[in-house]
Amino acid sequence: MRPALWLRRSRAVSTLRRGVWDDNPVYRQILGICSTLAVTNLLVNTVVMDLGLIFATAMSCWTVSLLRNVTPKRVRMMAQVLIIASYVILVDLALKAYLPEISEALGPYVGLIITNCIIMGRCEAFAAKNPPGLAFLDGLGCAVGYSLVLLAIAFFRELLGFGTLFGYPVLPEGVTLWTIMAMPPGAFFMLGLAIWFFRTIQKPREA
Amino acid sequence: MEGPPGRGAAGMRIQDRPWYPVVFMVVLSAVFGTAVSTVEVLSLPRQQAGEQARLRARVLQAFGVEAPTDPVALAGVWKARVVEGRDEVGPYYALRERGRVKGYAFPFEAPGFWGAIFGVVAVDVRAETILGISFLRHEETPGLGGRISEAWFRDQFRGKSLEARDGRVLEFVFRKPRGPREVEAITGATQTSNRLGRFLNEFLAGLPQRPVFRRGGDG
Repeated sequence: MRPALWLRRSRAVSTLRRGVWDDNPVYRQILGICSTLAVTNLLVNTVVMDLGLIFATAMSCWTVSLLRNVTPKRVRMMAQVLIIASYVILVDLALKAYLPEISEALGPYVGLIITNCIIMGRCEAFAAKNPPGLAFLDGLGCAVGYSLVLLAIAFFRELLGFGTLFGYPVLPEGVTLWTIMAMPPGAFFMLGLAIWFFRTIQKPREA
Repeated sequence: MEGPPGRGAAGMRIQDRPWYPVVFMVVLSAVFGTAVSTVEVLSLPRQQAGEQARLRARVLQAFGVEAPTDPVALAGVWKARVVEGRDEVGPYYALRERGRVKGYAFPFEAPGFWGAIFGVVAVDVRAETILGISFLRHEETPGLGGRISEAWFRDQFRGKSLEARDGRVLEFVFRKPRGPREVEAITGATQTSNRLGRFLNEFLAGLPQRPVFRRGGDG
């Protein structure tokens, strides 16, 4: 393999890996917590939210990067919000048209992806300074990292709170359900445990 | 969308000109605004069909009739059982059973904590008991006020008498209900419960006076 290609590919891999694992937005950067707490009591809602965020983040980063050389510095945040909002509204429209029940369950949280710090953060910190391909991977990686943590939290919240997974009953009859898992406080407990767990298994590093 | 960075006649880059940020934002807004609006317009028929199906499912839910999830089956049940009508006050839905009208459902818009709560309440043909309630759309906090859509809350209304005492039909209480007129409110969502309760009491007390009941169920 030619060194240039190998280098580029390794940069791509490390960009992805950083978002998913090393610099995970949820348990490393503690970003996107509002939606992490709000949409994780049922796996189905979480999956849809995740897919929406992955699409919006990756596409926003790609677009911001594509326009980075012609975007005036003074209005770059305005431009970023406009771009992010457009992609998020597209997701919202698609949900309303094709998955109305889930769109209703997610309520305002899809629209609130616009203000999700993960997207703004990636646009500002990475996409505005890097080529579109890498920016896309960076957005993808961070959104996937966010998604995996949310899925892990939702798995335990739905299992313990409702006794189901994706709506299918999996716990035997007679098991006492932890109602608190279905309620907002359960999200706080699970998020705390998740941050603790992931930070513990991650290689210790300099603060 | 924009050309590569060019240079103006005076040697100043276009990006450095004072009007450039304004032009840039206008062009960007126009491009993205057009794209989003186009998708919105294209998906509108589908959204409206979904809205209509949701309304129908919720009306049936208020009547206590099982609503099929399949859109075609839902349209079938709707056509066979429900007649849409309108009296002097507003629209209503009549449920038919064995050729006779069993009850009427009335859409309402109640104040909530964050925004309006849209719902449907169904009562029997003599305006004596509540058949059920359902909620179409609301902006209450998920897990708190949002629990009004949950079955345990809605089911409490089924079979309650419409007779008003001291101008009130129902009592919203923050404990296990004891009397036949009591409905358990949602702990942690006091504002949602109180506002919805106040509205429903007024709305339900006024229902027997609706002109549709005076006509003797011709729905």
